[in-house]
Amino acid sequence: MTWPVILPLAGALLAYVFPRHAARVTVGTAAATLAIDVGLARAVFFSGPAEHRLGGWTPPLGIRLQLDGPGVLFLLLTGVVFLAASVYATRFFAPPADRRSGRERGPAPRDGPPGPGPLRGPPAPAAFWPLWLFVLAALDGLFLTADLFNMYVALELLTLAAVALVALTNDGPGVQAAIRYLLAGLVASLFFLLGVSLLYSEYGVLDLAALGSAITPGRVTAVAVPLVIVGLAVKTALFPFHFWLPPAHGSAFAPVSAVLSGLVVKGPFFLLFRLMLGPFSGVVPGSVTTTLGVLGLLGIAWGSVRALQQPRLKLLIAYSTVAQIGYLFLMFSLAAADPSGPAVRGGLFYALSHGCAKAAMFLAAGAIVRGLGHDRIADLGAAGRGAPLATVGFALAGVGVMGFPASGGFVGKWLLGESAVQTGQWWALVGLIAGGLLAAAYIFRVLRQAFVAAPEAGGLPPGRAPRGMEWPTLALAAISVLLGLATALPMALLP
Amino acid sequence: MSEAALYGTLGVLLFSLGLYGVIARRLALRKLIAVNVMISGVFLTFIASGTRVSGTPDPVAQAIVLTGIVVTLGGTALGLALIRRIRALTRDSDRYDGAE
Repeated sequence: MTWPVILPLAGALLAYVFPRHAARVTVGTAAATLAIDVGLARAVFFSGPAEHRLGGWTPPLGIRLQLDGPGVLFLLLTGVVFLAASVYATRFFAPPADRRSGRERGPAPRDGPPGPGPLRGPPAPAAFWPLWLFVLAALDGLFLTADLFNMYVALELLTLAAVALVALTNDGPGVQAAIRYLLAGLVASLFFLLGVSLLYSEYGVLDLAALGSAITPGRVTAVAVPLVIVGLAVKTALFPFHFWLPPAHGSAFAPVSAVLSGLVVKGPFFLLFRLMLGPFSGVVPGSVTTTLGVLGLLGIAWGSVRALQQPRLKLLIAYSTVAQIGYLFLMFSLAAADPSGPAVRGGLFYALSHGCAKAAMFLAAGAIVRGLGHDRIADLGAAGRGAPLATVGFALAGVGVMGFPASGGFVGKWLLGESAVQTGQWWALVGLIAGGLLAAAYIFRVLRQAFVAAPEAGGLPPGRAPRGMEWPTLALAAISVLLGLATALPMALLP
Repeated sequence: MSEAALYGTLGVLLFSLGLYGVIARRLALRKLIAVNVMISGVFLTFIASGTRVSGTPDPVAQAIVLTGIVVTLGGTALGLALIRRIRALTRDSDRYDGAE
């Protein structure tokens, strides 16, 4: 059970020590981690949840890992997205100088800015591969841990590695975004940690199960629990704490954006789920869960409207993430009214589906930037020639984000909507429907330019994105759609 | 007021002071220092909470604070490195750009 954390950490060390083989080490590590995740999922499917005590120490002194249905599904999501994004990244970055092939030519452009774009990417910064694997290790740790302080350590590792990855673009906007991301992340961690400290002072335990049986409503709990929730909400980029997300996700390298938007915001969300529907379930007042739901609703509205206004594709996708996170927070409001209802399954399923779809969208945007040399939405007419497979992938992933029937996003929204009707929270239903329509509006805005609009005069793209970037994009987009067709297996693992 | 409660209150005060600094200051470096003030506040409450649980100094709380110091050292170092980088890139200031 510890392997999903140990393997990426070991891989990161290897990638650091042998920089020439770092790309191969990373893809190998991602594949091996996914294989282990599949094995763990099999084990949970056939023999139920399990737990592991690190070093054989029992709580309260030892730290416990737990493996259950939702946790293993998020492990699988992380494994799949990381493998696809790692393969993509090996083509996104220019190969080492001695292995340059004839097809990849020209000077190295940056990812993002306009200008004629030759097909060769920037060289991979030396720190990229180790940091990349640190993110994988931290995420896997978050999905496995059952200890409050261990959560904090994994959260910090995740934030620091993610911030460093954003800063690797090494230009003004990227580093500026990284600083903002770091400050927001550090402050959020401290809210979380102060809450944990207060809980520890009152109950003397850090283990989730022990806390669940000890916790009672009271003065300290009433202060500590909101502190923990606020800290995690900032890290998940819940409106109005989303301010750090669009610049960070919009300016990072494409594979980094994909992992940040698809997975990294899901880490703190998963912790919120663990806590709110675990130890905190009896002590969180209804006003708090309703507030989370309403903020989610506002996030859907604000993120969608901002997405509609963006001139650049990557920023549009980033604001779309702000909107989609709103749906995840509707879950808490709905689940509080009916904990055993469909809301939790819907919310978690939506998070899985969004993880695949959003990562695919950012990968597609990166391939389109490579093919066209820019990501101005108004000039996407040649996208079908610059990056045809990735453009199709973008459309497929868009189907999931809009929540069209038969996609994974539809199933998640349907369950959330069912719960909204059952618990009489009609405002949530309005948010689900309006959010879907707005998403359709901003995604069709892109698709119209890419598929319908006539290519600009002389609109031959400067080249074509490498196939190695396009295929992982398409595969990930296909998985996000398949999730909606093959719901039985994931549903069997959800509560 | 017991000793533990005194330290706990002091910790929360430091935390609030630091939070004010993070929000009110414009320079990234000052924000980072304010974050470090917040960190000290959180650690103080942790140490205080240790005494409150058992009446004697609590090894678990101390282990946590030690781990926390290591983690926040990494965070602060990363922040300083980023601020240096932005200075080198913009050449004129390390002003934190609050605009979206």
